[in-house]
Parts: sequence; structure tokens; C-alpha cells
Amino acid sequence: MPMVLLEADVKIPERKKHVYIKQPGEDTKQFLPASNITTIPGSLSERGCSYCGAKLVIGGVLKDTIQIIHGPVGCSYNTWHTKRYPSDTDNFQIKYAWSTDMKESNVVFGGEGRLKKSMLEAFAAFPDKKRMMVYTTCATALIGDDIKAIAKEVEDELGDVDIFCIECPGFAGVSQSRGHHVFNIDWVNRKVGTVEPEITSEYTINVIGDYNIQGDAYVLQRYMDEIGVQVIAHFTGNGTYDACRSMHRAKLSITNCARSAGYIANELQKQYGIPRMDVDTWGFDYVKESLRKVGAFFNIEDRVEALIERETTLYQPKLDGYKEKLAGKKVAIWTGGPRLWHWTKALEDDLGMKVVAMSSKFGHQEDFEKVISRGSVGTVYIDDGNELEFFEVIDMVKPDVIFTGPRVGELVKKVHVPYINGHAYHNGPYMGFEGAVNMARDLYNAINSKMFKLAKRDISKGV
Amino acid sequence: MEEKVDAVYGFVMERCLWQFFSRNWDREANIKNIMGNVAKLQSAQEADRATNQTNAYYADAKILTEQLSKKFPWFVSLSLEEISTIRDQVIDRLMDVAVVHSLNAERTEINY
Repeated sequence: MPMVLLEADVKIPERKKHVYIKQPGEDTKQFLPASNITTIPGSLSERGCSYCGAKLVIGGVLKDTIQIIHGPVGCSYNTWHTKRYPSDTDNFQIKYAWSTDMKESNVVFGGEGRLKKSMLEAFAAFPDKKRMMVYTTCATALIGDDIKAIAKEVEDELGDVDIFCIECPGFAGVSQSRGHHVFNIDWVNRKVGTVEPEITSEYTINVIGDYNIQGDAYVLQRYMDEIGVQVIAHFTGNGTYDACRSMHRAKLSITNCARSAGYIANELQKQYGIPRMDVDTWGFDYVKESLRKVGAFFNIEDRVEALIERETTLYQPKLDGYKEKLAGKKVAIWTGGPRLWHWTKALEDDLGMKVVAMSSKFGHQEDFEKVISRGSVGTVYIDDGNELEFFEVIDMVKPDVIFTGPRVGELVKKVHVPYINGHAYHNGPYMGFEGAVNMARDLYNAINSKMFKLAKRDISKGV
Repeated sequence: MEEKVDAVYGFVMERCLWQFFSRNWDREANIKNIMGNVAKLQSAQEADRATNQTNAYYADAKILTEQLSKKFPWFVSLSLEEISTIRDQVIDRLMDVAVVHSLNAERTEINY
């Protein structure tokens, strides 16, 4: 039973090439879901737009950068506060949202004047901020506003500011993945190499594809500080604009989210000879492996082992306590793409859980090669899943808990299946040793939540 | 020997990510260099660490060699001939699944 046509998809049989159930002896040479292609009309996709991928996922994370969204106000609002990525600059990037608030008259007569006015106003309102990103959206891309020309005017006029323009409107690709791509490639080609960092250690790395969700980057930074490795740039969790301009000076790039940021890691390797090393910074056992690779690269294994020993002593008993309670529980992972392959073996090996279904919104076939190789036989693998498919798969595999985002989460709540926000977490961080315990705790709490059991009761019928 | 090749190949496929980098040329370089270094390290030979890139292949290989030694007690006592056979056959299988017969349509695109 390779690719599967679910009952929900009878009217849209094209969906068959996106749904796979792994059988014994099969591998990705035989079956690989179609992915990163246009959503089929009639399928109620959960995807985001390409602009969202650039702004919400990558650029908007930077802690010192004004983010001007050149478009109607909704484009700004909807990519503002839906991710939980704090920073040590008093959460500047979460507190504020900026928009040119385009109206019909601006669309008719052009929005460049409005953009320039907004940019100058923003710099004036935040005089200590000298870095800005400007994003086109569907409306301003269609009318052809030249945001790079305006940015140049503002740079020339103010003299002490630097501006990065992201020309990736919502329609630029099939999902948010296109926004990741455009941001990565433009950044490395236009900004990397334009700032020289202060080097404080002979061991220098870039941490790529971590977005400081509920403090993930703080955990990784602490580990790197402890073993004496200088992080040149976090791309982009708790990161700064100028640090990301100086990524060319690292000796190694460790890459966690290869989907959203593998492009820049590849380009740093190609253009600057900085090797890309892919790591899993989620998962108790994976973290040990990832740290050991860094230790081996820099010949500092003793420091790494000391860190691992201390953290293991501290957190292994807690993890084991949750493992006893979670072993055998069934979990679905319905997130963006990479968390499928980062988490499936971690949940199975570290916690004894059974991953029964996985769905990716914007993953590419590369992600499915990874997840099908790591994932179990009998597990359902879906690309760009739609709502009716999710209902059907819930009936099919009966998960005890689901990792997903708020969109699908609201859906699964209606059928009283506990969900954990897989994109932004419930109570993270989830990375590192402590993160693995936090994740296990959230799983335990979700599965055993009395609220979900009470919600199933129909009080009108007294049951 | 076939069982041992299966074991090493299966472990790499479940555990590692480097065979599934973005493009064919990266995948091939990773597969050949990292598995080549695994064979060297298993037989107490020195790996090339002259550049940051070769040092990265070494680091991946070092951790994989330790993992294989811990998971499969027979791995540490393989002869030079045996580890060479395992290296070659695992490389062939990884190349087959990730490069030659991969269904991933993006891996041949010329740009990242």
C-alpha cells in the first residue's frame, strides 16, 4: 500500500500522490510524496504565504531591526505576534509592528511616497534603531513599487542606517517556503560580508535555523559559551542584523532547520568555504550527538563531555520519569516540515512514544526523504494536509496527542484530541537537555488534561 | 558481511542527515568523505583535517564511528578488509538511495 487516496479526497484524486503509508521493506526510492508544489484546488490547505515565510519565520525574529511591511495593515498584523520568539532587547521585535497601511488610493496612485514617509517616521520614532527590513506584499508588488530605490533614498538621507529589502510577495511561491528561500539567498548575496565581527575565540560558528522559540537560542548560546565557542551569528533567533552580516567569518555553520535556512548554509559553504554541519538540537540524545560533533570539529571534546555529564545528571532522571508515563502513547506531528524528522526518532527513542502520523505544510521532498527514513512503518506521511484528511487520519490512527499549530489545533480541539503548539510550544524552550524535559512535560500534561475529558461531555444530554 | 552492511546502512539512514543534503554534489561529497573517514578511524588511520571542510567530514565521521562501535560490538574488531568492504557497500547503497535513484526532483537543480 504505497501512496494512498483517503476517502476525504475522492473528489480530488490528485491528493493521492501526497499521502503515503510506509510498509516494511519500502524506501524513498520507491515512494516519495509530492511536495512543494501548488495546492490542489478544492483542498483546504493550512499553508501560509511566501511573504509570511520571509517575515514571520526569519526576518521578524531579529531583535534590533524595524520591520516595515509595505502593504495593507493585515499583512503586518497577521505576521506579528503569532510566534513566541523572545529576545534580550526587551522583546522589541514582538512589541512593535509596522505597516504602510496601504489603501485603495495608494494602490491606484502608487505607494512609494507613503513607504518613504513610513520609513522616516519609524526611524524617528525609534532613534536608537538603525537597521530596517522592508517587505513587499501582494498589493505593492503588483503595482510595482520600487522599494529598493526608496530604501536607497532613505539610506542616503539619514546616512547612518542600513536597510534590507525583501521582494517576496505572498503569491511568489506555493507556500511560506518560498519566503525562506528568497530571504536566505538575498541576505547572503547582499548583506553577508559587509560587517567584520570582533573575534573573541579561535572557535567560531554560525547557529543557523534556530529562531529562539521560547528561548531555544538562549539554551544553545549557554552551551556554546560554556565550551568556549563564539557564536558569530544566530540566524536568526535572538540575533542581530549586523551579526548576520558577519556570518562569513565563522569556521563552521551548524544547521538545525535545514528547510528554512539550509540555503544560506549551502551558500556560505560555496562562497566562503564554511562547512555546513546539520544537527538536531531537539531531542535528549540528539543534543549529545550534536554537541559532540562541535567538540570534535574544534578538538574540545573534554569541555563538551563535561557539559553533557552535568546536564545528563541533572535532566535524565526527569526525562526517565516522563518516559515511564508516556511510553506507548500515540502522537501525531503535523507541523511545517523539519520538525517531523527532528522529532520522530527523538519521541520514539527518548520517550518510548509511537509516532503514528506526520504531516508537513511546506516541506520539500528532501524533508520527506529524511522523515520516511527515520520514521516508522505503518506511519501516515502527508504533504500539505487538508482539514478533512486530518479528521480522517485521526479516526484511522487515534492519536493520544497531536503536535501542530493553532490553525489545525483549533480543528483537533473540536474532536477533543489534546494538541500542543508544535510551532511555538506550550512551555518551552524545547531545545537542549532541559528542553527535551519541557517537551515531555507538555506531552504528559496534554494527554492527561482533565479539560479535554470534560470537554467531551455533552451536558445537554447529561453524559 | 551482508548483515553488517545492512546494520551500518540502516543506522546511517535512521540517524544521519548528511546523505540528504540539498543537491546531488553535496550528498555525494558527504557520503564518500564521511564514510571514507569512518573506515579510516575504525582502523586507527588518520583522517584529513587540513581545511574546515575536511575537518567537518572528520567530525561527523568521528561521532558516527563512536556510535557504531557502541551499538554494534563487532564493529570495533572488523579487519581492514572487512571495514573496507562495509565502507564501499554502504557508500554504494547511500549513493543509490540519495543520489542515483532518489525521487527528489530538486536535488539536480544547479542553484541552491
